[in-house]
Amino acid sequence: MNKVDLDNMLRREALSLSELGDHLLNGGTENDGNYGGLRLALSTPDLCSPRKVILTGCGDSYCAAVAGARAFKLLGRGVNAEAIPAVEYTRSYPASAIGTEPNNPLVYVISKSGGPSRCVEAARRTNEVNLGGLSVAVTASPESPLAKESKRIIQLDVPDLENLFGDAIPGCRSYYASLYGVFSSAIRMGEVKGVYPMSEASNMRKAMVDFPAAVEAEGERIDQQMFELAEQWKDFESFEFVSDGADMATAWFCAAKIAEATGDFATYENVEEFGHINYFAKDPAETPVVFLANYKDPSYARYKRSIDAAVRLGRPTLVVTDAPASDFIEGAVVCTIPSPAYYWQMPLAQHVPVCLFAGYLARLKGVAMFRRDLPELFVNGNNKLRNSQIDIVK
Amino acid sequence: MKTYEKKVFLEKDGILQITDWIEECVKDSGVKNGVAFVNAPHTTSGVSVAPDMLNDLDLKDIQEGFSKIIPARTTYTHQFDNTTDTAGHTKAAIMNTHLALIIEDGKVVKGDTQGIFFFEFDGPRAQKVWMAVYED
Amino acid sequence: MSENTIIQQSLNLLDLAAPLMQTLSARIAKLYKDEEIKNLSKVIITGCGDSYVAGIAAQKAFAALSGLRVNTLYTIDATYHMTPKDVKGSKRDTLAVAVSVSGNAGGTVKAAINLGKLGAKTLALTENVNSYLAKNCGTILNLDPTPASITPGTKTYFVSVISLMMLALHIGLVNGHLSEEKAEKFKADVLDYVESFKGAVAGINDSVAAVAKVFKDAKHLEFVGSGIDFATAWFGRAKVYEAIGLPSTAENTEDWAHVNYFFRRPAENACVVLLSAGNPSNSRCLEDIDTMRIMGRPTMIVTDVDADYPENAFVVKIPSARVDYIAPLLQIIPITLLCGYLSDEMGIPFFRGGAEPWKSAGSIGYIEGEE
Repeated sequence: MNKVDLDNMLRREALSLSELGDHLLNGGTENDGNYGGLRLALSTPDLCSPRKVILTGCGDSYCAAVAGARAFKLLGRGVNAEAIPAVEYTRSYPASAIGTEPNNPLVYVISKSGGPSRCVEAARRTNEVNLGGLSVAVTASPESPLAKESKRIIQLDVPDLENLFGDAIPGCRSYYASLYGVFSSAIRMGEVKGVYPMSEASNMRKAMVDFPAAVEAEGERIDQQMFELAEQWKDFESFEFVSDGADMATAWFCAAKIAEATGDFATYENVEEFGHINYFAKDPAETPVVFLANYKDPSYARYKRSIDAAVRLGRPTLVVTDAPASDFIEGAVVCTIPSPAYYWQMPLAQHVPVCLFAGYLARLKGVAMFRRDLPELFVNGNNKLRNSQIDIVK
Repeated sequence: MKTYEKKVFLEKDGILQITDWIEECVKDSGVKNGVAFVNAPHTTSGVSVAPDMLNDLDLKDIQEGFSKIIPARTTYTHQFDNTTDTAGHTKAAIMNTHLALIIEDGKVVKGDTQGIFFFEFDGPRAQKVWMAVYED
Repeated sequence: MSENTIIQQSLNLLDLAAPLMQTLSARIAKLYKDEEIKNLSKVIITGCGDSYVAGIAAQKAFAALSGLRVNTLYTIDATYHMTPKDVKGSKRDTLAVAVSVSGNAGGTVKAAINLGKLGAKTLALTENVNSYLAKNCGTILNLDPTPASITPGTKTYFVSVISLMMLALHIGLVNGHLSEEKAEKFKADVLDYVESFKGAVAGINDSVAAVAKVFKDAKHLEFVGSGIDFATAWFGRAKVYEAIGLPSTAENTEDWAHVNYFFRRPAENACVVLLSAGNPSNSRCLEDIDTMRIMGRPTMIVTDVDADYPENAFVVKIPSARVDYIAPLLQIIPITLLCGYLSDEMGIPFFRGGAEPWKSAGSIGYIEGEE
């Protein structure tokens, strides 16, 4: 089968991230990262005052929150940063921890569309509880309900690619943009706090574009490898994604892409828990597992044992990593990607191979993304994302 | 006119004595009587005079003095970069970025204990010093 | 009634609580001097698998009873992603409770060692005082041994959760956060909850056995819950892998709608929803249940809330706990029963019966030999 015939918008998006990054950084729009609103969305007092940063969102946006929390912890000097799923933040997070000092915590609510009820609820709760925290919408939609609810907006400019195939596209560019937005804010926080000089901040901003560019420079190899893997794995209906720490963002995101692209079952787990739980999947030969191993993460050493075990169990195994392929047991398919200049930026492009894989998988299975081939069952609004009841828990 | 450039790299609140460099440039220029202009072409740097025998620790008094009257604060209107950058602009404006020197008999006319210093108010930064020497 | 060991363990939990609480009280009182407890400002709980989930399940109770800040961490995070400031941000002490009934979960041992190095006082919750964990912690809360059996952890989980709660109770009494009266009330609330379950368990058992006859055709299970219910969702997922080996997920009530909703073969993806009275997320949970109905997902709802549930949903009604943070103790019973009945219906042995390839692959969660 010719992979050209299986081209799809998820693939196209996955290979367009550096261009999007360049646009976000240098696009010259009033919202770009160098001279525009993205840089100045939050003022110096906005960034210096909070003692706690919360990042929240739903689905892919929550993945961006997980990755963003690590960046704030590393760069924000002394700021306590936490990613919380939107419904947990809005309904279970103690009200006593919100707004006991003005503009504290700093709450990033991430949603490219700005439409989900839970995100609106998150911003509203932030504003209304006690003295109110500082709600920041990270969105591409300044007129959205989320943006209107929030005190500040980090506006992402995400031009759509021309949809050449009529696909409903699992968000890939939007995810990169969300990551870019929260990472930019973290970099800015460190910059205004004097954690590092402006030159270093500029390097970090540029690195957010250089990393996907480096991955795309090897795009042909990676694309071919993922196409071949999709051909081998096209009959599987259940996928597991394994990582740890903030790179769980990528594991979760990849599971979501499989769900969206093919509708196959997908789950995610950290590399330690894999050995206690997922290890016991009853049909190992039919339950592929993908490990996302960040070479520079302090936990890297733990991966080898889990990957060895997965292969010995007969699990079809893919390792996406910036480590040398020789680190891993024979029998694992290893997809090497370049290392980012800053290891915490890994989520920006770590998912590219799996996005390529998921796109090809959907084509090989002959299914439409987002279940467009099952319109009577998957009716827009069934899952009540935008019309879920909003409750403000005080 | 002869022009000269010196590249410097200074940490935050860095201070570099450039008296020797200036005198070498004047000597190199061959100008016997004239004027020299020294310029720091930046917005967070300054050029000024201080006692040439001050050690690094003593020189810090000058930076600390500036920081006391122009602290890095979060409420500056100029928010584009960071607080020390904005404070640096103000310090540079007050100290000024250039100096005019008299040249007589091929030497810079200055007090016995005067030294000429480049001040960086932000940093770390790679900066430059320019000099132009004119014959009378 | 099945003789399946997980079913037996589930039903026997109800007789464990009272004597266990008494035994634990006495042992916990001897662990630390009062001054040591009064100097605590923070607690970290860590463990692998069920032990991690026990920490999540007990976390709200721990904070409420002890008055301290409590965080539950994955062992890998406790080992590799912590700074000294994360562990001990003040001059007062941090207690790191490392939970591993066997004492030989490698990840937990490493986590305990690292947390100790970063300044925490380490406490092992284990049955095995000679285990690696016990040897690498400053103090040991010795749990009575569970007879060995290859059963997805049920009693061990229950014991871990209750141990954490009793530890918190003692801390709260010593540091003045709890009065004697409130402490006794907590114990009474737990025992009342247990008693109410004794009255309901036969009905629960029958309901779940009926669910298993439908769910046996599922290829995957999804556990959905938010807030206080999320721990049981997570526990359920782990039990399914252990009991019958079906790939499973646990998801909160919002992200289920964003992601899992899109699984394409609804009839093959059965859902188990946890919905406790007073949970602020319940409105979202009910919306998900309606979505499941629309999509034709086989659905079991474990709840103490009366509501208009879809007719085709299996509602397993359980008693209410007087305080929400007690609920996770016994909310697991329908889950473990389900796993047991599914194992019977599907003929799948627990932990794959020690067969190949698991036999040769060896355990990767536990310390072996000289590692």
